[in-house]
Amino acid sequence: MADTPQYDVAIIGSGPGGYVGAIRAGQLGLKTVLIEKDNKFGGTCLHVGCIPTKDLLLNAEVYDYFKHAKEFGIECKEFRLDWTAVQARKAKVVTKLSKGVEFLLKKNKVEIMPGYGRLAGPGRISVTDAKDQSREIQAKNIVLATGSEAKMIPGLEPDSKTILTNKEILNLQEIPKSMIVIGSGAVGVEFASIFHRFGTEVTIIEMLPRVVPLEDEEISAELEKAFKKQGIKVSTGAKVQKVTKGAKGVSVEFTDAQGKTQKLDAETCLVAVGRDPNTQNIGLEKTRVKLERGFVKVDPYMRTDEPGVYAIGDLVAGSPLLAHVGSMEGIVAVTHAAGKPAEPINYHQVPNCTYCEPEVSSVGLTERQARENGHNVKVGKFPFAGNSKAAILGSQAGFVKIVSDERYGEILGVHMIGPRVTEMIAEAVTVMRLEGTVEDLEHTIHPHPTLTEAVPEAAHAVFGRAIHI
Amino acid sequence: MLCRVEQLGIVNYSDGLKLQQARVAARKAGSIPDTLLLLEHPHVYTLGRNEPDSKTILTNKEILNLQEIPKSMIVIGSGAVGVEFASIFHRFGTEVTIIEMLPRVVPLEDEEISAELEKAFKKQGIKVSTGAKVQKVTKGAKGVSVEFTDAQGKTQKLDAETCLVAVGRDPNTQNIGLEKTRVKLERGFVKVDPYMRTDEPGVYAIGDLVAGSPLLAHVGSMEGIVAVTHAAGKPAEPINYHQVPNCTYCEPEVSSVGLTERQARENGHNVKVGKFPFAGNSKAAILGSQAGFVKIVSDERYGEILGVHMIGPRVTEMIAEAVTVMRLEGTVEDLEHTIHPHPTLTEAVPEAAHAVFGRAIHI
Repeated sequence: MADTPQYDVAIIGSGPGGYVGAIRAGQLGLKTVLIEKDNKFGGTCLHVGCIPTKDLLLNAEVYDYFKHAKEFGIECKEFRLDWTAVQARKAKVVTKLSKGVEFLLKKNKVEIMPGYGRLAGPGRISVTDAKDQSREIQAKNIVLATGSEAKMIPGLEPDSKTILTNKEILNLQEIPKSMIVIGSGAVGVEFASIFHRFGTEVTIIEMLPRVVPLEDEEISAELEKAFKKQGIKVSTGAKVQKVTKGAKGVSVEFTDAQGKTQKLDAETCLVAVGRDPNTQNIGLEKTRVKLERGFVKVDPYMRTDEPGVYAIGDLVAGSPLLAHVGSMEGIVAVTHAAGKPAEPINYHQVPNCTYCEPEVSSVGLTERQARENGHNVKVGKFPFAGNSKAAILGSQAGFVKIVSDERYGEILGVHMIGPRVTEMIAEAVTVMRLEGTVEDLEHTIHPHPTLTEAVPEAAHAVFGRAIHI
Repeated sequence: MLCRVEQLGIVNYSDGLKLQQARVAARKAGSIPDTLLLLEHPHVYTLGRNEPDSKTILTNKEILNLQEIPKSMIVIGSGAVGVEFASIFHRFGTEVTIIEMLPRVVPLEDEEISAELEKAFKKQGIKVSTGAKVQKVTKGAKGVSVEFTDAQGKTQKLDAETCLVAVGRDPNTQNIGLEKTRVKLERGFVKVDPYMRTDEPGVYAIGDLVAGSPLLAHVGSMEGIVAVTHAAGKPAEPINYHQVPNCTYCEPEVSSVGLTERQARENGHNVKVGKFPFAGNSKAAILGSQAGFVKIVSDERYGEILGVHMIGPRVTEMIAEAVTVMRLEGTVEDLEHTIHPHPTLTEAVPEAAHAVFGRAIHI
C-alpha cells in the first residue's frame, strides 16, 4: 500500500470553526491538515456571511450619515451611491481577511489540502480534488467542520436575481427596487436593514408572532417598532403559501396573522428561513456518528459517537449557528484531541448579535424563559433615551434590559437593542461567567460619556433606582 | 518653591495654600480665566501685559465658543483635554501643534499607548513636541507666540492664531467657607476618607475637589452616590480607585483601567503582558480602522489582571468589560474562555488574553 500521509488532526472545512481549530492545533504542536473544497478560506462567515454583511451594514450607516449631513453642519449638495464601488469595497475586505487566514494557517504550520473531504473509514479521510482525483489521508483525530447552507422553500431554487439566499443576494449587480424578505432572524433583518437603507422597498414576512423570535419579547417589539418607523414593512404571524417567479420578479402569497390571504409582488425575494447542516455526502453513513434532527450529536468536548471524530460549528446539534461559537468549539475539540484539559462551552453564556439598525445583542435567558424556569425574576430596563452618549450620537431608541433572580441578584440574561450594542454585550457575558450580581454591576464605574453606562443604570433599575430616568 | 508673576494667566505653585492666595490676588487683579491652571513643575508662563481673551489664549471654556475654526493652534498640554481638542480642530482643518512638557503624550497612560497615539497623530499631520518646556507666551495682533525649550534643550518659537492651555485643573476650594472649618487640603485638593467625609463633621467632598481622585465625571458621580448613601445611614461601598476607567476620545480613542506595565513592574509584580493589534481584528478591518491594540497587564502567578490598556476604534466603549473583570477578580484564562461575538472589536480582548500565553489566534 502506498504511503498515506499521517496527521495528528485533520479538519474538514475552513470556516471560523475549522480554521481557528487548525490554528490552535498548530499552536499545540499537532501535525494538522485543513481540507477545504472551495479555493478560498474562511467559509460562509468570511465569504457569504458575517463579514460581507457587516461591511454592507457599515456602508449603509455611512450612507445614512450623508443623508443627515446637514445636522452635522456639513453641506452635501449632491451625493449618490455607487453600487459597484460598494461591492468592490466589500470584496476587498473579504479578500484581505481571507488572505489573512491563509497566512495564519501557514504561520502555524497547518498543511492546507484543497479538495472535498469525506470520512473513509476509521481514522481515514478521502480527499477529492478539482480534477476528481481522490487520495486518502490518515489522521488520529478528525474534526468535521463542514458548516451549513441556507434552507430553501420547497419547490424553489435560488437564482441570481429573483429568488435569493444569503449567497446570491450578496452578488446582486444592482440595488433592487423592492424586496420581500421571508424570515426575520438575524439574516433576514440584517439584509432588510441593508437594502432598505440603500433605497429598496422592503417587506419582511415572518411566520412566528414576532420578529427576531429567538430574542426577548421586548426586543422583538422594539425592533419591529423601529423598522416600521423607518418604513420597513413587517408582517408577523404570516405563513407563506406560494412563491411564484415571473418576468418582472416574484409574487409571494401568504396568510396573514388574521388568516386572510395576501399577495405581494416584488423584484426580488430573500429566503432566510434557517440553515441546514452539511451532513450529507461526507461519509457519515458507515460511522457511528448520530444525528439529531439532521444535526450531529456531540458530547461537551465536541466528540461524536464515532471514536476519533469530532464535529464543530453549524453541524452541531443544539449549538447556535454562530461563528464565534464555531471557533470556540474548534478550540475545544483540538485541545481535547491534543490530550490537554479543555473547557466545555457553557451554551447559556453565548452572546447573540444582530447588526441591523438598531443593533440587537443578548446573552442568557429571556424574561419569559427565566420565569418559565421557575426563577424569582426581577427585571431592570434602562432606555438609551436616558444616556448622554446616545444623545450625542442622536440615536436614542432602544434599551438595556437585565433579567435577574431576586434571591442573590444572579444575572440570568442581558438583552440590548440600540446603538452599537453588539460591542456592549461582551461585558454581560463576562459578568455572567464570573457570577457577578446586579449589585456588582451597580458598583462598577463605567466611563462617562459612553453607551456602556446604560448597563449599570439597568442594574440600578432592577432595584428601582436608575439615576438618569 | 513659589513664583509670582505680575499678570497671571498661568502660574505654578508647589504649595497649595499659597496657590489659593495667589489666585485670590489674581482674581482681584481682574484678569484670570475662570479655570486656573495648576502646574506641578516650576514653570512660569508670562502673558506680558496682555489679558487672556476669548480668541487667543483659550482654556476648555473659551475654545468651545470660538466663532470660527482657527487656521492654526498651539495646544499646551497633552492630557485628555489637550489631545481631544487637538484631534477635533485638526480634523476641522486647523494646523495643530501639541507642546507637552513630559517626555510623552497622554502621560498618565501606559507608555505603549503614548507611543501609539503620538505615532497616529504624526501620521495624521498633528505636530507633537514632547519634553518641551514653555518659556513664554506672548499675545500679538495676529495671534500668539509661544517660546519653548525643546527636548534637546534648544529654544524654539511657534506662532499660531490661537493657543489652548490644557495643563491641568484647579479645585474650586476658595471662597466656599473652608477657612473656618476643619476641612484639610492636600496640595490644594480636599482630603476625604473612603466615604467622602472631610475632617469637618457633617461635611463631605466629592468630584474634582477631592485629593487623590481622578478628574473624571463618572468618578464624581459615584462619589456623590457614596457620600449621600453614607449620609443616609445606609451601607456605602467605598470606591476602589484602582478600578476606575480612563477614557480619551481623540482619534484613535484611548481607554484604560488599572496599572500600566511599568507601574505593575515597579509594584513588584511578576508581569506578563498580552498585546493584540486591531490589525488582526475583522470588525476593525471592516471599519477600515486598524491602528492600535488591546494590551493586558497581568501577574503571572494566578493570571490576575492588573491593568488593561486600549487604543483604537471605539475603545472607550470596550473598557467597561475590563473594569468588570477586575472587580470580579477574573483572570486572563477567564477572558480566554469568554466567548465574544464575531465580528466585533471586543474580540480583541480575549485575543489579548490569549497573547499573554503566546497563543493569540489572529496574529
